[in-house]
Amino acid sequence: MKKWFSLFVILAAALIQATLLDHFKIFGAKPDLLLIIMVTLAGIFLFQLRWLIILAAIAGIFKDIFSVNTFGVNTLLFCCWVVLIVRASKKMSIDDNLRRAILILIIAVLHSIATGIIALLLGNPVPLGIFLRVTFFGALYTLLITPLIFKVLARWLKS
Amino acid sequence: MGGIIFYHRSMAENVRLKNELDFFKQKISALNEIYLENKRLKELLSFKQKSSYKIVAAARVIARSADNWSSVIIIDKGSLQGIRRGMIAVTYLGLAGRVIETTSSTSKVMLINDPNLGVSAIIQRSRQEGLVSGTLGNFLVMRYLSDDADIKISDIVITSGFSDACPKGILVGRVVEVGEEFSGLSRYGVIRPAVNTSSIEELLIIIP
Repeated sequence: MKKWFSLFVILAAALIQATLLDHFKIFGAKPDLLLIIMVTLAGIFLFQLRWLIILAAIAGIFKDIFSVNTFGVNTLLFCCWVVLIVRASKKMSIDDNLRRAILILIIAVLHSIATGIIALLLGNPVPLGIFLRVTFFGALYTLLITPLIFKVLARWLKS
Repeated sequence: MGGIIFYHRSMAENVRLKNELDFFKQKISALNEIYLENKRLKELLSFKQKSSYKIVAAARVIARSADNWSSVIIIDKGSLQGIRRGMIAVTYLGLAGRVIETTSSTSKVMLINDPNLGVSAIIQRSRQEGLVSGTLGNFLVMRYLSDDADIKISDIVITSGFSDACPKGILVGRVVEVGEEFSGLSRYGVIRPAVNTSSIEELLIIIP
């Protein structure tokens, strides 16, 4: 049941990301709801890895559909982050809020850097100034909105 | 007894009136939305009638880019309506972007504030040419202006039509800041776009 509910949450987040969120941009950056949801599901609610990869792939496909980047970039990256988080969570505890926040921040920055490098390699480079601005504010915005998303997810998934 | 009946009636009436008020508030909001849409569509129609561009289709925005790295909108018209890659998207206010991808029923339009979209443009007053590109923010940058370029704040920027990619004379925006590039060899102008890219709801697709 929780898996289907997570799927519904991902679908809703994708729709919000592609519609409403554009009106809440700060310095040209908006938070990455799908990334927050995937990191939260992987790091805190600990589904089986197989399911997490399926959910991550679905979230990535949704993001790729509404993006200009080469199709599959987000799908691949989301799956990588999920595997990475599950492996990391076996070696260290990510139960407290500070560690969760640091994890989200690191993943958000890494996601931006990976996307920027892939765009550069594919011949669509983003100017350095814009890249730094979007990476910094995007990661910060994602971090700031995380507690809210986590609270909502925790309430829904525990009920 | 009478007092109780009076109180009960008043309470029932109060509930009924509150429900009616909610209903009318919702109705006013819906009518207001229709009024605003009507106003926008009238402006678009007026632009369509006045302009000499070959208009392919009028389209509505149905989604926006999900990531931070591009400024793209998805519209509800595609190749079945005659839209092709490379066509120009405008609103009645000016240039909005360019079609970069089409499916049978939807298209992706890269907006002018995307850094990957470059448009050849001129200053309307001085006819100074430059390349306008986006910053993923609320402003555009006009680059490759010579160091003695005649450009001032409040100058109007229009498309140059020097390439086949975009017709001449479409309003791009207004200069709000002029600066010198780090190398000192050329100048740049910061432009406030005529079209507010974050609030586009309807577009016209024209043949370049």
